[in-house]
Amino acid sequence: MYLQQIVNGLTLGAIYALLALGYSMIFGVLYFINFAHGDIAMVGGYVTWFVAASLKMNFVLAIFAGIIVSTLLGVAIEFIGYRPIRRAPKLSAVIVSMGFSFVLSTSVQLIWGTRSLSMPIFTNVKTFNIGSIIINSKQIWILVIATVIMVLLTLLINKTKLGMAMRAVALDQSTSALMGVNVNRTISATFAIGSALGAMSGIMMAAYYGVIYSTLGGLIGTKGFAAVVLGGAGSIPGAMLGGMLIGIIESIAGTVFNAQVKDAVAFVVLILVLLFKPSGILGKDVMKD
Amino acid sequence: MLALLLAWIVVAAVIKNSYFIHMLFMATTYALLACALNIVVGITGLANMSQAAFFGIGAYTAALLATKFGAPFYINIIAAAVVSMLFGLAVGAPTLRLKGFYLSLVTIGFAQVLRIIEINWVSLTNGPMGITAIPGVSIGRYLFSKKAYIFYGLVVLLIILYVTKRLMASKIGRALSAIKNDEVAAKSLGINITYYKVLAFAMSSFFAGMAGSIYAQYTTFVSPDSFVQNDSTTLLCMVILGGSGTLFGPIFGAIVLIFVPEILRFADMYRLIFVGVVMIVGILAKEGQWFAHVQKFFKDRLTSLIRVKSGNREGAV
Repeated sequence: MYLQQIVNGLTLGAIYALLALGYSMIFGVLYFINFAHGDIAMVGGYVTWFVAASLKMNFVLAIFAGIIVSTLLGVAIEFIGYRPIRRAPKLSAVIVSMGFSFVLSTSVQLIWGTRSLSMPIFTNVKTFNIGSIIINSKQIWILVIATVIMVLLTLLINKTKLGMAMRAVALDQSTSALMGVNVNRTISATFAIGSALGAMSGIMMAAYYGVIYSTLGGLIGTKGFAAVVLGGAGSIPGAMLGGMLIGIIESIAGTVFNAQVKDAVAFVVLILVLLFKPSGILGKDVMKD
Repeated sequence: MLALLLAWIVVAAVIKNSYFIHMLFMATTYALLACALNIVVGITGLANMSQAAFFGIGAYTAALLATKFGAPFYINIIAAAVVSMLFGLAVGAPTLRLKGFYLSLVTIGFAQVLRIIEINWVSLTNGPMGITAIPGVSIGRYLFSKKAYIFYGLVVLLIILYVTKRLMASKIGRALSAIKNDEVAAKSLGINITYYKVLAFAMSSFFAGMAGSIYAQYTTFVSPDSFVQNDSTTLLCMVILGGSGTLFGPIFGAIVLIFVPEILRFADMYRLIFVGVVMIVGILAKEGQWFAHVQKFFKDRLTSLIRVKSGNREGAV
């Protein structure tokens, strides 16, 4: 039974990890938690639903539409909201990000209503039995896509010039500017990639459960955020590990206790981590303000 | 400022419309909470994102005491404040060693866990249904009207303002602002940083608990939905927008963020968008010093206008 829960947890964890990656990358370059991130992810899910269900277009096309809209949204929010106050106290940026979160979640409610909408992706689900474990084609797709994305992201960050620029900006903005890194463009790129990952996570979450609703952003937002802290804020492998762990812990807690407690478990883990190892599992710098 | 308080009292005394009374009560309550939060955020420079949770603890404490034991209001308000302060100590003591944004993470997590407890501990809190039929405040035979709660809130607000003012002028207040300005320097001067941070946190949660007790007896109903993360965020915004660290700033912030979104009350859905926009534009304007720019723009125009005019005159002569 636990093996089954681990498989379910890994699927959920892969979705959280994608969201956590976006959080963590943005945290890495700007040192604040972008609270609008979960809502950007949700908008991606909604756009995908709109293109696939209302316009009745191809799923792949719908997914790309969702990703593109979220990416543009993320870049626009950074440009309008965070760039002018980059030197201000971080608390101001946090409040602006929460303002964007309010605006996005309410706009979605105004446009598409507060009811749950059914996501048309994955209509014919095949189920496979491997030993005592049951796994379906949804889960396989999610795990495969998430793994591919994470591998590509790791390559991007460690092997490309853009990745090097991102790491440089995360370490020290002014020095990397002196070394000829275009800081503004790098931060925009970070938001673009982070938001695209978030959109993928939102789309997967909606596809996995088969529904999308307006509070989804807040829900996965908090989980992704717990994953970031668990793995270590600012750390890319940490975000992946944290997401997976939160998914597995939640799945197991869901069977041992009840569904309500399941949501609390992520936060109890979050608080315990913050109390005993505030830098998270793979994070380095605790005292960075 | 005195004028504002006087106006507040006069308006509270004059209005009859129950909707306006409710709005004014909410503004008073949020002004209370924002002023309490100001001690942590404004004076000490810590990011507490769970003020609404302490508000909720106070409200639940008062609600339980009033419904189960029929306790009088002065016991309720003190008990609510003390219980809320104990929670504040429990959250603050272990976490205030951490710097900056970690505290904001812990407080968000704490608020979420508390909300889940409020929903699930049905035998104590009656779960998502909330506690209903909380008796109102009464002194002797006199049962408080809704309007009277505004004055009740104002009295507590004045107490908070007085305490904050005295605090800012005291040794403790100087230690707190030293921590805000430079923690390392403060530490090197022998200030026990953790002690003072916990003290500020406890004071803030103490007053938030008081506000909770007033609110619970005013609405006669508390539920987990009354104290959510959005409220904490809005409170934080009130403090920062109004002017964190100033005595009266948070009150202005509370007034703006309570009354301005009410313009869109007819469409409740739009309200939250509006709050969001106020938060974004307000902070951008404050940090970008838009007001100063606008002032400079008009000043420049004015001076060039005067210069042109005087130039003309010279030409004429």
